[in-house]
Formats: sequence, C-alpha cells, structure tokens
Amino acid sequence: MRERKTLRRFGLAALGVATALATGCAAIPTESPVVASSPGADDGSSEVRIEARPPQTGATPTQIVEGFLDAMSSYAPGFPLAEEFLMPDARAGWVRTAIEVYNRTTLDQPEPSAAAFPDATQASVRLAGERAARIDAEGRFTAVAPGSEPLEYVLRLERDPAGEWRIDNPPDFLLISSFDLSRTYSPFSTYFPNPEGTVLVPDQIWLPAGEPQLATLLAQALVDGPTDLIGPAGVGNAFPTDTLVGRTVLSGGTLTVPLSGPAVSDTDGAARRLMVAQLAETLFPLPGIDRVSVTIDGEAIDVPDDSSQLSALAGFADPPVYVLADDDVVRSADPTQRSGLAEVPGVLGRGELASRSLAVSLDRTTAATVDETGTQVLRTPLTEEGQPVRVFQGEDIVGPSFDRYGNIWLVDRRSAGPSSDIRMVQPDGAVVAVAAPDLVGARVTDLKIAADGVRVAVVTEGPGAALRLGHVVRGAAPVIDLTVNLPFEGLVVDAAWAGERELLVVVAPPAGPPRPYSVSVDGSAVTEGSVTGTTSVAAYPSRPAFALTDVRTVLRQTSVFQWDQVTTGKAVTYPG
Amino acid sequence: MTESGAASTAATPRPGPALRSPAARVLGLLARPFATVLRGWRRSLQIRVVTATMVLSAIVVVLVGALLQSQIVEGVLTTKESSAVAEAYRGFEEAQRALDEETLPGSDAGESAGVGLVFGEIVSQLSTRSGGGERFEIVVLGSKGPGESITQFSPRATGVVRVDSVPDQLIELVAASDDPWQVYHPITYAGVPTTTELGFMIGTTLRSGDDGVYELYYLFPLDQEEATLALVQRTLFTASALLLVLIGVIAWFVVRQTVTPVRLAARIAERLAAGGLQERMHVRGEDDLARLATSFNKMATNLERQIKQLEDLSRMQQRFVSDVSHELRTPLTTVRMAADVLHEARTQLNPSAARSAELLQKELDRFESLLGELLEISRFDAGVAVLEPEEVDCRELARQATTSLGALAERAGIELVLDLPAGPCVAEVDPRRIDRILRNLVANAIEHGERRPVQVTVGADDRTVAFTVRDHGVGLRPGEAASVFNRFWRADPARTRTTGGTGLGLAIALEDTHLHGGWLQAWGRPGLGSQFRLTLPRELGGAVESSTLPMVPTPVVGPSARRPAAPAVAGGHRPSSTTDELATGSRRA
Repeated sequence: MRERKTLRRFGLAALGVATALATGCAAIPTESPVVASSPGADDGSSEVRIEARPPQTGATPTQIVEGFLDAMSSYAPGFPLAEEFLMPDARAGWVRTAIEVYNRTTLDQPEPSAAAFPDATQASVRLAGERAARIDAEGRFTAVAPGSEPLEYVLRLERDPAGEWRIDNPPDFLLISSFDLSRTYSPFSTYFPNPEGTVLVPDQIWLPAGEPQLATLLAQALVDGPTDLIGPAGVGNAFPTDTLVGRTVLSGGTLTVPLSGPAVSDTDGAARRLMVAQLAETLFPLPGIDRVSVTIDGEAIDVPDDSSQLSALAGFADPPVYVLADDDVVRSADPTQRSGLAEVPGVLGRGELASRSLAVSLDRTTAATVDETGTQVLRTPLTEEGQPVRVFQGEDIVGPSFDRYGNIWLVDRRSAGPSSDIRMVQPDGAVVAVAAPDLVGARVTDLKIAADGVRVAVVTEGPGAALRLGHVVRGAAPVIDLTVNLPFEGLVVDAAWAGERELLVVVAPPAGPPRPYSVSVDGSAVTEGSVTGTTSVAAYPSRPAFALTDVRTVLRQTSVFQWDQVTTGKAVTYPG
Repeated sequence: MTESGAASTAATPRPGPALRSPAARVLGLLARPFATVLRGWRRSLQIRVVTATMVLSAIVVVLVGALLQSQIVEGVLTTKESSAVAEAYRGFEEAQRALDEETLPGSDAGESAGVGLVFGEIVSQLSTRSGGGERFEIVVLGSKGPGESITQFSPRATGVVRVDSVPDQLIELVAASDDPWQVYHPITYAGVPTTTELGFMIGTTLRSGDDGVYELYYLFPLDQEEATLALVQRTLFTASALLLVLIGVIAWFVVRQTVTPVRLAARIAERLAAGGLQERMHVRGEDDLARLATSFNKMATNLERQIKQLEDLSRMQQRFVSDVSHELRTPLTTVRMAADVLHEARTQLNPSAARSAELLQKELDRFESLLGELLEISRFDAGVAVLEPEEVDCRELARQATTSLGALAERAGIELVLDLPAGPCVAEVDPRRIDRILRNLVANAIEHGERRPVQVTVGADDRTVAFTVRDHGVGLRPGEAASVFNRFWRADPARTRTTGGTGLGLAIALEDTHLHGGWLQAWGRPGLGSQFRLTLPRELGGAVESSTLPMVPTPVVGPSARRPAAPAVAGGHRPSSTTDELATGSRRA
C-alpha cells in the first residue's frame, strides 16, 4: 500500500511538470535561432486575361469595334469570335496572318455618332494609334520606333440583316495591343544549317502560344525557310522547297512529323540528318516533347539526332574573359569567379604591345589588337613564343571581331566620305573586302559576328543611327545583308552577342548616361540595365556579362541588377 | 433441487440452426456479448459511474468544441476580411485614379479611349501586389457603355479565374450603387477539370471619363483560412477525444476510491450473512464509510449476541427436557411397579378400584412412551442419536409394521393393504428406527382413516427405496402439510387421541429420516385423504435425489380403485408440483 502511495505521488508530480511545460510552449516565440531563408512557392503570373464577348445586341459602332479589338486579343485558331463582328460577306476575305501591334489606340467616329441618328445604316469608326511592332505572315517580328509609325485605319460599319452593326472592311491584319501580345504570342527559334552544314543558325519567329498545332506550324516554318534575318542567302535549308508537312502527332513524349513530297523522298542521308537536327532543335523547347521522329511518305526515317554537335558553341564552351589593362597587359580570368586575373602567355601578357582594343578568337589561340593609333591590326598567337603580325593597315579601325573560322572582321572608317569599309582578314593573312550595300553612307562604330558565323550585328551612328542585324553571305566576294533595324532612342555605342536570341547593347539616351540594354534579336524585348556610364560591353552565351565604364573600371554582372567591379582596364572582351 | 440446463426436454420444439434467418443468427451472435455487457453494467457501480461521467463530459466537450470552433472561424474570417477589404479599397482608389487619368472626358461625339488597354494596365498593376499571404484575383466587368445602356466591354480577369465566379447578386448590387459590396462566394478557376475554392469577393463601380461604368472585383481565395480552420478542427477533435479518454481514466480512479471500500463492506456482509458472526469491518477515518462500518459492526455484534442468547436458551431448554425426562424415569419406574402390582390384583378390588387400576396402567403406559419419545427427541436435539444400520429387506419392515398394527386396524375397522414389489429390496438402514417410522405413519393413517382402507406401498430402484402410506380419510387442509411434522401439532385439536399418540411421532419420524439422509414428505387433500412418503437411500451415506413412488397418488380417487404398481424407473420421477399441498420436512442445518 505504501508503495502504491509513493507511485501515485510521483505520477501526479510528473503530470504537473508536463502540464507546466505544455503551457509554456503555447506562446509565440520571443526568440529563435537565425536560419537561412528560402522562398516559398511562387503564386503564378499577374497576366491579365480578356474574356472576349460576342457582339451584344444593340451595340453601337464604336462598341462593335472595341469588341472586335478585344476578340482579336484572345487567341483562338482562326479567330471565330472576331469573325462575328464582321459582316457575313466580309468574313471570308479577312486576312489574319499578319499582325499589327499597337501601343495605344483611340476610336472615334468622324461622322456624328450613330446614336444621334438611330436609322443610320452606315457608320465609320476611325482607329488611331501608335504602332509598336509588326509581325508579318512568316512570323517575323519587326519593332517599330515609338512614335515613328502612327496607325490609322477607318472601319466602315453597316447594319447586317438582323439590324446590328457589323464591320464591313476589316483590315488585312490582326490588331493586337502590345500589352496583350505577350500573352497570346511568343517568339520561337527555328534553326537552319549554315552553307557548310556544320552549324545550326537560329532564326526567330512569333507564333500563337495557345495554338494546339504549334509543332506543325513550326515544322512548316522550317520548310518555308528562314526570315531575312539570316537568309535565304546566309543559310541553307535541308528541307526541299515543296515539302508538305502534315499534322504532327504527339504521343508519349514522341512527336511524329509526317513529311511528304516528291523532293523530300529523294533526300540523302546527310540531308536527312540535317532535317532531323533542324526539327529537333526547333521542337524540343515545346512542352511534352522528348523525342522527334520524322516520317517521309509514311515511313519513319532512322537517323541519329546530332543536333547537339551542330550547336554554334560546340567546342567553344566556358571561355575566360580577357581584359586589356591600362598597362597593355592582357589578362584572362574565369568570369564566374571574383578574382584570379592571370596574364595570358606571350607578348600580350607582358604588355609589350600598346593597343586600344582587343579581340580573341573563339578557339582562344589567337588575339587581334588594334594599336593605339587605330591604324594597324596585329594578330598575335596566344603562346609564349607567338609574335605579333600586322595583318591590316588602315585609317580608323573599329572592331575587330573573330568569326568561327578564324577570320578577323574589322571596319575601317575612312575620312574620305562617311562610308566605312568592312574587311575580313583570313587566317592566311589575305584581306577580303566585304560589301555592305545597306551601309552605304553610314558610319559604323562596331561590328560583331555571332558565334554561328552567319549573323552579324552592326552599330552605326549618325542620322538613322541604329543597331542593325543581318547575315553574311559568304563566297569569293562576301556580302553583309543587314535586314533588321533595331531603333533606339539615342546613340548606340556598343553591341555584343549575349546569347542565341539576345544582344547586349550600350545605348546613350539623349538625356542621360549610357546604359547597357538587353535586346532580343528581333527587338521585341528590351530590358534596361542598371549600371550607368558604360562605354562597351562584353558578353558570351551562358556567361556573365562584363562592362567597361567611362572611368575605365571593368564591371561584372552578377545578377540582373547587380554589377561588381572586378578590375580596371581599357578593354574587356570574350572570344568572338 | 438441481435444475438441469437448457430445458430441452420441454414441450415446444425450437428450429434448428439451419432454419434460422440471417438476421436472427446475427442477433443471436450479438446477444451473448451484449448480455455480458448488460450484466457487467448492472453489477458494476464503477462502470455505470464512469460511463455516466464520460457521456456527460462528451456532451460538454462537444458543446465547448463547437463554441470554440465558431469563435475561431469568426476570428479568422474577421481578420482576413479586414485585411482583404483594406487591400481592395486601396486598389479601388488606385484604379479609379488611373482611369481618370487615362480616359479623357468625352464629348457627345462618342470618342472613346482604348479603355480595354487602360484596364489591362490597371489590373496588371494592381495584381502585382497579389502574392504570398495576401493572394487575390481581379475581375473587371463592364456594366454600362459610355453614354449607352449596354456594354460591349470584354471582362478582364487575372490568371485563370473564371469571370462567372462573381455571383449575379453581387453584380446587381455593385452595379446599382456607388459603394463597394462584399460577399462570401466560391471562386472557380478554369482548367481541366475546373477547380473551386471558397472565397471572399468585394467589388465596386468605377467610372471612366467618358461616362463608361465598369465594375472592379477583388476575389480573395480563402484556401489558407480553410486550411487553418481544418487544422483547428482536427486539433480540437483530437484534443477532445484525448480529453474524453483521460476523463474516463480519471473517473475510473476516483470512483475506485469510493467503490473499493463499498466492495469490501459488501464482502464482509456476505460473510456475515453466510454465518461468520465474528466478521467485522475495518473502520478507517471519519467519513460516511467509517460511519457505515461502525453501524455495521454494532449491528453484527448485536446479532451475534442475540443469536448466542437464543442458542443458549435453546440449549438450556433441550437440556432441561433431557434432564427432566431422565429424572422422571426413576419415579416412573417405581410408580410403574406399583401400578403393575395393582393391575395384577385388580380382580381382588372392587369394580371402581379395578377400573382405576386399569386406567392407571394405561395412562402410565402412555406416560412411559411419552417420556421415551421425549428422551428420544432430546437425544436428537443434543445430536447424540446413533444410527445402527443393518442390511434389511424393506418388505419385511413393512410387513412387520402392518402386522404389529393389525389389531389396531381391526379395531378401527380399517383394512390394511400391503403393496410390495416382487423382488427383495435390501437397504442399509436402522431397522428399529424405520420400523418406528412406519408404525407411526400407519398408526396415523388408521387414526385418520375414517374406516377406509389404508395402503402401504413399497417401491425401490437401484439407489433408493420408498414407502408410502395412503389413507382416504379427512386428509390435510391447505397449509397443514408443512406443519404436520411440528412437535405437538394436532390436526384437529378436538379430536381425541384414540391411538394414544403423543404429538411427537412425526417429529421423531422426521428426525429418524434425516439421520438416514432421506426424505419424509406428506401430501393431503381435504376429504380425499393423505399420503406420507418415506424415501431412503439404499446405501448408507448416499443422497436421495428422487423417489420411485409418486408423491401425489394417482388416481386421486376413492378407495375402490387400486393404484397400479409404480414401475422401478431409473432416475425416478421428480415430484411434480401440483396445486395440492405438498410438504417436505426441511432438513435442519
């Protein structure tokens, strides 16, 4: 009995202690150890959707046009909802392949409002606004300088048999606001082989993102050939011209692309490999696709996918960044590290060559420098024994840049006349003149060849100053065709290829310090950088960007808005 | 009297298992544990108290839990509502301001700005504040076109929220007034399949510069609140369940404190009732249980004292009787001798003196036999009666008894009928005593026989032997069959004792029967006579469980019919209960 008593007392005491502890834990903590934070789940986009409505009974002409605009902003294949706003006989003739992208639009009626005259059978509504861009029938996006192209269109409306106002003369294009464009259309890359068939060069087109048959459209775009950004002369196309593309079928991660046509059956193994490579590169970014299988006339072709070997940067990955210091010593560094500049081997590493600008070949064996006077271009192997060789003599040389074949591209600005001569120095030392019909009369400040060896970016100054993109047509007499004009407000100072579809550009706005901008190849996306006073930039795909400021500091971009100072110098460049 | 188990030899047959319906079978299966539970419930105070406690606690806990839950719901929703309303009001203000800036006041010419674009930007701007803890969706509807009654404005919405989530009732009220309205309503999201979340909506009208009227709705999903409340509910539930269980356990222990002493008391009382008069309860403390124990002990002491007194008294009485009987013997012998002399010489006396001498002799005989019986009785009472068993044939005993009373029967004009079985019935009995019993029974039958025949029957089976003495005389009245074995009892006090009975005959016969371990039973019906049955075990020390001869004679008819001989059946007949009076002399403990 006594034992039970003590046991009971002990039990009660334990219970009391437990209760006290439990109540103590119930309060909000006043202190806690400091732990690293991690972001929670992202809640999704802040996209604004339009639920377009069909024409309402009794809508005025202005309202009909408003509704028509809203309907065009919600993508549905064939835009059946937008069709409802048109007169029945106008529906068939409405062209809806090209798109005009506008920033603002106002609607007004040049004639007195229809409400004043309820019996009116005709009305017109004028659309006035500002073009922001154009997407043509091929999907090519053309940015338009703000304010440079006003948009005006007068829509005529008539009463349909039911007495409702309907549009009688729809324009030959879709009208989508820039706000709604990103929601409904997206850029897609299509790939075409360079003339040698060694590299796949990316092209960019805009297609509706919600289109169920997107893969078919992309395959068709490949057959149709490149936009004039890179072609047709700059690149080839493994697809014969009259190839027919059937509906693609996606099942279990494999997309089957049916091709047919007289010419495509005769293609040989090499061409088929290129076709498969083009399709693979183009279609893999689409969701749900792990493999691409091609059938020609119903028969699957069994060809390995070596698209990865055809990448422009194959073999040129992870390069260091090169800095030309004030003492003419060229140092290289791992761009992902904060520090660790090391002199390059050879003459340049010892600072024996006075230079004002620097370029390094993609294979990192050779460097090209322009001397301080800007009249000579010296090519130096990056080896201990390498000696500089003068390869060009000119007046005022800008550039240079290397292409994937080891050619040095440079621009020599002649004082006689505003024109600039573009020269290509081949590895054997031969200097080839490159014609640029589009640059007649323009003054070039920079020229950069992309790693794929086809695309080229040229910065011009003076009236009509812009960043111009185009392609190189190789041959005995190479030609540069500049087909894309990316307008900027202000002076474009420098440009560098930052990725497949992206350039890093330094722009000096009319009122303000120069800044780097990230620009997409067709000018559709422009992101302003956060550092000011930059004079030049160096960029490489998948590597951090570097910028040179007017106080000669070299900055490295560590995050979207953050740039760190790394060192000082007078030039910074990546290979290329 | 033993009671055999499920009386399957009873009258109505039961259906076998194959014939029972499934429902009946299930009920049967449940019945056994249910019966056990019910029995436990009835017998255990503890279980009843604990169950009552738990039931009441459960009710209380449920009520408290419901109250808590409703308070928490209210609190959570109030918090969410106030923060949602604040956010929405901020948004409304901002939206209206942006709208005013962007849309130019229109003329009647009907110029309209791209209000769709404007709203797109406004909504995009507002929705950047959505995220994390304060998520919301925005829906913009047009309620009135500029200057017109209908609207062609296409609704704008963020994310994948469906525009038809906004209930019509809210739309009506919002459109009809300038003030914001709010409601709780589920939010639907487009998708395959569509998903729905509980939500809170608040909307207001916005006016554009050109008299267009639009409605802006903020939709706040309440999924987090739902999750919080589900958590609260789960916690409350588990806590309540745990609490109930603990209350049950606590009640168990607490009740044990009360019930254990009560059980102890019950046990001691049982022992006392069973005869342990020395049993007393432990008195601990001063509470109610102690008072109970004290009173109990007092009562037990009193009882013990009383019983002892009675026992002493009884013993004293017995001893007195014994002593007196003994003392009376001596003078009686002397008186007897003198009386014998007088009786011998009665012829020499005058007639009245001779008569007196005869009377004297007769009464002295009676006196002597009475004394003998008293002594006998007192021997029984003192417990010193001794059995002298012999193997005797019971038929002989019956014959002897009837023969010895033959003269008496003849004098009374009663025919004595003897019904004996054919074979011998040997039993191990004290012949003297049995003979005494039989003679007593037969004498009684002759006495009360009313000149009708008296039957003596002997029956036997392998375990017992039975004698019945049947008379067709006055019989016994209701209630008399029990008291017929009492000492000095007389059926009819007015009746003279012609046979010279003392009133102790049956009592002594009963004691003799009990010495053998047998039964002595009486049956009677007024006017139809009576029957006395003596059943003895054939082996000394054996128990009598049944008797071969029936207690109630069949047929219960007049003397003319002869009762058929009862068959010797193994197991015998149980004495069947009838409406007739039946008595068994009870065995004293």
